[in-house]
Order: sequence, then structure tokens, then C-alpha cells
Amino acid sequence: MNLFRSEEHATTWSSYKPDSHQSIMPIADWAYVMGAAVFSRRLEADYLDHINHDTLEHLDDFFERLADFGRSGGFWKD
Amino acid sequence: MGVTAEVKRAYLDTMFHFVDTGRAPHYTELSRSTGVSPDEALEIQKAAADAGVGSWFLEGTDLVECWAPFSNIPTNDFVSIDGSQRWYGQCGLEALAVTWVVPDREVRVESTCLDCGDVVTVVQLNGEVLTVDPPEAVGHMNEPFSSADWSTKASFI
Repeated sequence: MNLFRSEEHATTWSSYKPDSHQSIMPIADWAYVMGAAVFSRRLEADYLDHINHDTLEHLDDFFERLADFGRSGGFWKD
Repeated sequence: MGVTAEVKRAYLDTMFHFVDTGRAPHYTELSRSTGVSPDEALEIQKAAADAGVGSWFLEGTDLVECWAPFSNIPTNDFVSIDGSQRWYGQCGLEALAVTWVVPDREVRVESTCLDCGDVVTVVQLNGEVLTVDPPEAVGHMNEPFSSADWSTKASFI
């Protein structure tokens, strides 16, 4: 999960995997996605109570934010 | 060990130690600050890592490697807080989440582009992106998020 100077830099990176193209988004859009609760509430005293590695419910907000940019489907979740 | 009050405290103590110093506390430091034995502190810190998202120990050791959004070893994602560069983002995207653990403080992410070696600079405050240089910079995830094995570190890099 890296930052690149442009989409062209991401796709010409020697390790770039073409199937990952849909993950390329402007920084501001990724910053919005990374504002999902699972990332933005880490300082809350009950944060760990909301993490469930079996159900992944704590990622719902993350997926909803990705969907705001048309990112959905198998690349993101089963 | 489940998510006990001690585990929650260790999770936050480790996070705040990162914020304050740029590195994770060794478990013996947690032992001193919490008044439990070193062995208990290690068990609690490992349980906190297991319970969190993007936190893990260096394989085969009792040393914290990552405590998202931070890395305990240098990465290409340099993070400055209020002008001081002491932190490293776990990855480029997690670096964009550092802003949430340092409210009301300016975060500057300087991430080296893996393609050309030049820098992408992002400045944030309270989650808001103030500047991006160059403006056309992007974030990218090379592996499908859906293939993440949540029990391993590889999912997050």
C-alpha cells in the first residue's frame, strides 16, 4: 500500500500488478477512505471492543467509503 | 487472553508511546509503567497486538514491528508531526491515518515513490488534507484487500 507521484508511476512500478488497477485513487480520496472508523477511532477507550476478526464488521465503514468512489467487488471483499 | 481492561490499556499505552517518542515501548517498559511482571506485560502486549488491526510483532521475536498506523522500523513513509520527523507510517495508506491519533497537530507525510524515488508530500490536520505535492499523486494497493489473511502482517503491506 504505497503512494506514487502519479497513476503512471504506479502502473510503471516494476512490481505493479495490473489486477490492482482499481485501487489507484487520488490521495484525497484515499485519505477519506482512511477516515473510516477502524482507522480514525484508535484512541477511543473501547476501540478494541469493536474489532471482530471473524466477522470483519469493523470494516463496514471502510467498504462504504470505497463504494462512494465506485470501488466494490471481489478485489475488496469476498 | 481476551480483550481485558489490561489489554485495552496496553493497546493505548503502546499507541501513546509511539505518538510521544516515535517508537513502540518494549514490553519491559510497559511492565514498569503498569506494575506487572515483564512476562505478564509481554503477554498483554501481544494480546493487544492480536486484538488490534495492523499491529504485530516481528516474527520470531518479542519486539513490536508495527502498531498501525505506525511502523517500529523505518519505511519509505516518513511522518513528521508539528515539524518533527520521528515517525514512520506502516504503509503509505496507513500514513494517511496518522492524523487521527494526533488531533489538532499538523502531520506531514513524505513518502518515497517506489517507481522514481522522488517524494510524495501530504499535509493533514484533523483528517483534512491541506496539500498534496504533486497534486496528481495517488495511493495504490497492489494485492487484493479481499485476500488479506488477518492473522499475518503481509495483509497490510
